[in-house]
Amino acid sequence: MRVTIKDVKHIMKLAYLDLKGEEEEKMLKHFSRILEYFAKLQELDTANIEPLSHVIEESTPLREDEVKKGLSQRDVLSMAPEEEGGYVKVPKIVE
Amino acid sequence: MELCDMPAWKLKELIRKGDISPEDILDSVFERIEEVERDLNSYITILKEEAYNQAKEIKARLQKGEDLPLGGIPIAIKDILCTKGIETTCASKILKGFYPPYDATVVERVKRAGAIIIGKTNLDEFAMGSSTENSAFGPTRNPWDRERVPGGSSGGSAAAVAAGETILALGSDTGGSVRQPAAFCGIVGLKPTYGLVSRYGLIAYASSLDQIGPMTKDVRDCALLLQVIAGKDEKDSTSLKVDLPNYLEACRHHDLSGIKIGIPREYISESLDPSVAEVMENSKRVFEKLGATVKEISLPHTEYALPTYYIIAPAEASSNLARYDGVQYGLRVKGKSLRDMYLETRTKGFGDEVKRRIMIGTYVLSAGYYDAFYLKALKVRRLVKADFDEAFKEVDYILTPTSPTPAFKLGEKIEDPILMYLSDVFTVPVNLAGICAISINGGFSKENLPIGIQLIGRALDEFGLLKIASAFETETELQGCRPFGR
Repeated sequence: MRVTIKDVKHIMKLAYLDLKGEEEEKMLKHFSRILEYFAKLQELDTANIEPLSHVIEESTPLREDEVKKGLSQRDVLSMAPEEEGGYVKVPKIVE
Repeated sequence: MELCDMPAWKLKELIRKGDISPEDILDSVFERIEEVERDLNSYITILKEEAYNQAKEIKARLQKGEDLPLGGIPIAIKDILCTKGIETTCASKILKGFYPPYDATVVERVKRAGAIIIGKTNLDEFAMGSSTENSAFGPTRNPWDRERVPGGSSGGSAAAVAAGETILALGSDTGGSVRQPAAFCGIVGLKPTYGLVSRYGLIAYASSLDQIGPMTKDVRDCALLLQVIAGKDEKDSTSLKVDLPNYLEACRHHDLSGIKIGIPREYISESLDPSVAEVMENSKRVFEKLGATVKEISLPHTEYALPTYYIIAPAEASSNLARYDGVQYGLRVKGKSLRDMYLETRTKGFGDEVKRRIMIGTYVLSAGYYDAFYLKALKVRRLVKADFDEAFKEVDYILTPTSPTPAFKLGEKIEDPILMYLSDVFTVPVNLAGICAISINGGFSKENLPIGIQLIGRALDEFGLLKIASAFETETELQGCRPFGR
C-alpha cells in the first residue's frame, strides 16, 4: 500500500498535528516504511479468529455507587494552564 | 563494596543491626550521583533535600518499631508515574510544569513501605522508544559504556540502578520497556502479569499493554519490591483480586528438578548477535545443571508479534494522547482560536517519535483502514497468545534472549524506526499475551557489555519466575557485577 503526501496531510488534520516542509517529508518516508512492515500480517488467514482487544476478557467490573472523597476542585484546577472563577479558561469559541 | 552498590535486602539487614542509618545510604547514593550523573543523565528531577527529610521521618518510624519492608531504602521513580507535588514530565515538553495533585498507587505504596524517593528518572518521551534517546531532556547513557544507550524506555531507571545512583527503581513496560533496559544495563527487570500491579497514576501509553515493574540489583530485591506494589487497587478496575504469595520465599529454593524449560526455535535465528547466542547456550547449561529439563519448543507466530504490537500500541496511544491539547494540563501554546491552540500546542509539545506513533495510530483507526490494520492486528494478537497457551501445556517456563544484541551505540538506530523497533522483538509478545517475564543478566560480551536473558511464565506465576531466576543468579553470581563496583 502506497502512502501519499495527501494521506499524511489528512491524518495530520485528524490528529491535530501540523508538520511542514522537511518534517512532513520525513514523516511520509517513515510512514511508508512502517506500513510496508505491517503488510506482513496479510500473510495470515484470520477469517475465523476472534479479535482480542484485552487479555482480561471478563465482563466490566462493577462497584457500589457510593460517594467517596476525591480530588478537590482546587486541586484539579491547579493543573490547568489558565483558570478563572472555578473554570478552565480557553480561547473564545463562539464569535 | 560501597553502600550505593548493595542490594536493598542487604542494606535492610545493616540498618536493622544498627551498623548504618538511612542517611548513610543517602550519603553514598548522592556521592555517586555527584560523580557520574553529569555523564549519564539518568535523572530528570533529583530530590536531595526532600530525601534527607524523608530519611529523618523513616528513622523515627523505625525507632517506634514499625515494620517497614522498604524502610530507609532509596528508590527512583520513572518520570511517567505521578508524584504528588513533584513535577511529572514523561520526558515531554507538553507536560512541562505538570505537578500532579496525587500519587500513583505504586508511589503511595512504596512510600507507605518506608522507601525514600530520591528522584524522577529519564525515559523516552511517553515511554515511546527503545533507547532513551527520545527525551526532551537529552539522552541517558549506559554506565557500562557511555557511547552506548541504556535501552528504553525505562533507560534512566536502569542506568541509575546499575550505576549506584539509586538502590531500587520503578519502570513501566508496554512492549519491553522494563526488561530491555534491564538487559542492556545488567540488572533485573520484571514485567508482571497484566493486572497484578495497579496502573492508577501511570500516565497511559497503551492501556491494554502497560504494566509497572520493579528494576533492581538482584532477584531478591525484585521480589521485595514486587511484594510492596502488587495487589488489587480499587482505583484501577483492571487490577486483579488475587492472593499474593510471599515472593521472598521464592528466592530460598534452588532445586529445579522436575521443572521444564522451553527455548523457542523462532527466537534463535541467525540475526542473533553471536555474543547473545553464546550466553543463551551457557544459560541453557546452567539450568540443566540446576536440575531443569531444557527442550526446544515452537511459538509459530513470533514474527507477526512485532508488527501487531506496532499497530495496537500506537492505536491506543493516539487515543490516550488526545488529552494533550493545552486545555487541562501542562503546556499551552496560545492560538487565535481554540483549534489553533490545540494544533500549536500539540505540534510544539510532542517530539518526533510521539508524533509518528500518533499518526500511525490515527491512520490504522481511520475509516477505510480499521479492518485491514487494527482489526487484523487484534486477531493476530489472539494467535500470539494462543502460541503461549500451547507452549505452556508442554513446558513450565520459556527461556529467550531479552534483546537480539547487547546495548547499541547512541544514534545508531534513531533514523530508522523499524531497526529501532526490532530491539523489542523478543519482549513484545509477552505484553500482547498479558503474561509475566523477567530479565536477568546472563553474561557479558567481549566488550564487557551485559547481556540479558528473559524468562517467561504463565499468567500470575511471578513466584515461579523469581524462583528459577534466583536459582540461576545464585549459581552464576553474575548480578554482583557493577560498572563501578570496587
